[in-house]
Amino acid sequence: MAATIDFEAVSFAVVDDNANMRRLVCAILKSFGSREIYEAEDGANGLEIIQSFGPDIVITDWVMPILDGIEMVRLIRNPEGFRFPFVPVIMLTGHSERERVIQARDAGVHEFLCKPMSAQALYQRIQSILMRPRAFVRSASYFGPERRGIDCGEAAGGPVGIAAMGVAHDEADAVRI
Amino acid sequence: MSEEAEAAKIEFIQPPDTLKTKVKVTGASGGIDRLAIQRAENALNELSGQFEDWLDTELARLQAARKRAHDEGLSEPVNEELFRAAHDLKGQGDTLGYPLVTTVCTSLCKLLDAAPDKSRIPLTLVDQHVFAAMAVKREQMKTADHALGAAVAERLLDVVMVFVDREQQRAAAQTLGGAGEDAPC
Repeated sequence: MAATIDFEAVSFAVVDDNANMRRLVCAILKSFGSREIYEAEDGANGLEIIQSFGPDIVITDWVMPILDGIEMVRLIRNPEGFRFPFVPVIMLTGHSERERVIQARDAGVHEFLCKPMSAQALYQRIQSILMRPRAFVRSASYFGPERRGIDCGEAAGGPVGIAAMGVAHDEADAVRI
Repeated sequence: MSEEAEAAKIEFIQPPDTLKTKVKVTGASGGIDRLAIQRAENALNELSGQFEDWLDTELARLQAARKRAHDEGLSEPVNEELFRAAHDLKGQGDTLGYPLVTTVCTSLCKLLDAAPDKSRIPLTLVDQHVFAAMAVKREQMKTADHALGAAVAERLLDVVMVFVDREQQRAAAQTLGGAGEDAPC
């Protein structure tokens, strides 16, 4: 029997400069059952709504004007300066290159999902965040979610390993690296 | 700092797990709630009637950025505008029902992102991508099943890869102090 998640209590921030993409993501989240969804059209606006409303999960684009998704995540992962440094972040982007995934991981992203996305792939990323919460790691060079199945030696090198992060291009070719 | 010293400074923190207390989960821990997925797919189907208009809007944005590149040259802000328009189409083409638009714009993004010296990117090659993306929509060449559309997309990517590779070699040669090849594309 599959797990059924009651999304009604889960709030989201959707940060994307493309209004159509926000509409798509919001339509999916609403159909999952979420009733509290905040929208922002760039990273700066995203930071404001996260500070103001403290959503449970952030879904953000990478390429945006003013402040891009990676810069936004770096500012979020600042326990001294940001109100919600532990908020789970899903990076939803047209970037699919390995070095971009590594860059997102090193910024402290929980999950990485490549566009075009499917409803199922987004569901799986959210499910992973809700059902398998991760501890955070703080080192001299990194603050963010712990790698799943990590050994301490690997974590010691700074940013946690890439296997920490769920990566999916589509449900059909979802991979974890 | 040595690796041992760095390791000694690693701190594991258990974040306040507010989600666990807020969110009710029933059933087994694995598996997908098929009903939730079906509801989401139905919601996307309801929106799909607007997808052609959305794609037209995005293509007009790409065309405007291309025109700006011709008017002002491929400066950093113009390149960024062009890249953002192409990148949005790369991400949305498939969802909006035109996978070939995604393919063409993936190639354009590669050109705009990977060329070390943006001022050397041939605008003709940019034009060819933009016109190809517009033709895909106009001629309804939605997927790679359309032989002509697929051939054009493949050829564009081939040219981009050759150009980017040569430009990267040229940049590397310049870094090492060599003259590098300077042939036009």
